[in-house]
Amino acid sequence: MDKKNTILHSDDLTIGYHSKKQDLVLAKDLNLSLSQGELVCLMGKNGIGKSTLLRTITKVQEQLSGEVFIENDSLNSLNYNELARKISLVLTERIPSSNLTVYELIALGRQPYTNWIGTLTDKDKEQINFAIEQLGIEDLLSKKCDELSDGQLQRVMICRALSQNTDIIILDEPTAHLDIQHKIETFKILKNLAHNLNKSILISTHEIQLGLQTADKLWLMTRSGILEGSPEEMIKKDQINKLFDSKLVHFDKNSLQFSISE
Amino acid sequence: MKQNSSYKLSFVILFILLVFTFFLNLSLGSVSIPLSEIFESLFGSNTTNQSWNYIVVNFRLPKAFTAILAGTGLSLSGLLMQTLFRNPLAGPFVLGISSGASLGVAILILGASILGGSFILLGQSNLAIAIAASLGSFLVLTAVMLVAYKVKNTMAILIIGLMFGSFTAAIISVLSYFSSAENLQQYLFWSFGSLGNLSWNELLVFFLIFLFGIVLIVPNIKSLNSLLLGENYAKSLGLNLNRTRNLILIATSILTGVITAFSGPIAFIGLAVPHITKLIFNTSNHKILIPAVAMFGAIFMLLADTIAQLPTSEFVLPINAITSMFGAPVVIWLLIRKKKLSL
Repeated sequence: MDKKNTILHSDDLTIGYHSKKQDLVLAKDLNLSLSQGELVCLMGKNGIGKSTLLRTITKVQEQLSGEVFIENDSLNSLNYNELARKISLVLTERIPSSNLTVYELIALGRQPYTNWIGTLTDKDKEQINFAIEQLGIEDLLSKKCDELSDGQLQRVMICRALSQNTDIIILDEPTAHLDIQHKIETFKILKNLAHNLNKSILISTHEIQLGLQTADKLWLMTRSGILEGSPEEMIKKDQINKLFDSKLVHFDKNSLQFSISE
Repeated sequence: MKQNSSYKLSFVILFILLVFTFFLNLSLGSVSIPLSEIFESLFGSNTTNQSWNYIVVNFRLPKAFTAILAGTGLSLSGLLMQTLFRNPLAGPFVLGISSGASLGVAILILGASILGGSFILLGQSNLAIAIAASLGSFLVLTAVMLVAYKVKNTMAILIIGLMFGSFTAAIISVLSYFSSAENLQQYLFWSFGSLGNLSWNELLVFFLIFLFGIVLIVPNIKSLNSLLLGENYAKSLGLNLNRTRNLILIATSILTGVITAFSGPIAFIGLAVPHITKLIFNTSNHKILIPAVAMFGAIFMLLADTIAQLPTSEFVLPINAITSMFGAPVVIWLLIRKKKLSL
């Protein structure tokens, strides 16, 4: 076990898809761990199974074998509402067009705690305001969600996850539609949330350079499994190059850049 | 907050409108009855004119209540479908649920002339029609749901719903072709939609089933709000998606089934009223929307029925025609003004 408190870990987890003929295995016997106050970047090329792993960890999809534990509870033993108090999500999918205001959207993060009709108590409002303060989006609150730019919307979605007040926040490619300024800002926000509020944050991302600079730990997903370690370690052992199996792509550990090989 | 008090005012205005349209509906009809006489018939003392009293108590009053139930139920069903399928074009009619109800009634009424026997007796009672319509709508709804599990694409589900509609229409055509003129006429009149003709006893049955549908909706208000974010987010907020989806679908099929059964397939209300409400109230919060849509639905239906009576004339137009004829321009006008259609 880690020095820090492990909040989520997997035990010989095998992920993939059930099918009639033969199960499609994307990754086998994974033993991963996520600790408190830690920002972890999950990286890997398209189609390697990053989303499948995230879906399995969040109980959207069933594992083929093995188990996932949150603190000491097996994922399967938690019901949806209990899980919603442990893990909050920011997904890549766009939310459907609606008349929801930013405040209402963030307030939805309190649903796991509110009564049957969703009345916000003073404590709920406190949590919401705290999340809003952390993200600095006070000026957006009365806007409709449809009126936001991609960058603003992503902040709002992170704020909603934060108002859910879970130990773990999982984000699926949170910077996919953003320009470089908003990408950097998002990574900075997430790092602050992990370090200042002791959240465990797991993000899947293709932003390898940004990930190397901000993450506490990397999960590099390759054909032969997931390599786990700090960015420095991974660079030193030249593990980054294992992400891509094309001869065209090369990661230079001195400049920390990808280049096209001759 | 400031918003809350403005909603309160809107609800007060809605309620006054509802009361106004209710009495407007009662006071207008083929026989002109002074408003004072209507009040007397409703609240006590023996009226001078017995036939006026009879018309008000046994004809106009049940009809006004039917209008309220039908308007409310169809509008709420439309709202639920729009949120559940996250598609502003969804409604009980678009998804083929009303067509399913029609099919059930068609098999009962039209099938009677083909199959004969005990069917003929069944075809005459309103209760049998109600059961047939509920079964029909539930059947189509289940089919749509099974498809929804397989197909994640909402547009595909909508098109499949339309296909169910066409399919049931085709079966009804075949049944019509083989059935007697008498039965055909009975079915045709049923399909025009009608709010009248219900006795107090039938209205009571209608109301109880309706109430059951409403009771199923209320605990889902919170879930409907989280569904605004899409199913995956809703699940991550602790929503038991399968249970919620089933409850919403059952509530919708009960409501549309019972309404179609007692007052025919009334088009348009289910699609239009939720949009009118959302455009006017400018919110997606179901805590506000559900009561607002319910009241708007009742008001709209009462107005449509008042117009359909062609006051002071002896003619009554099919309610189905009126809802679309006067509702469609309202929606178009609102859309042009606000330029936005959403969940």
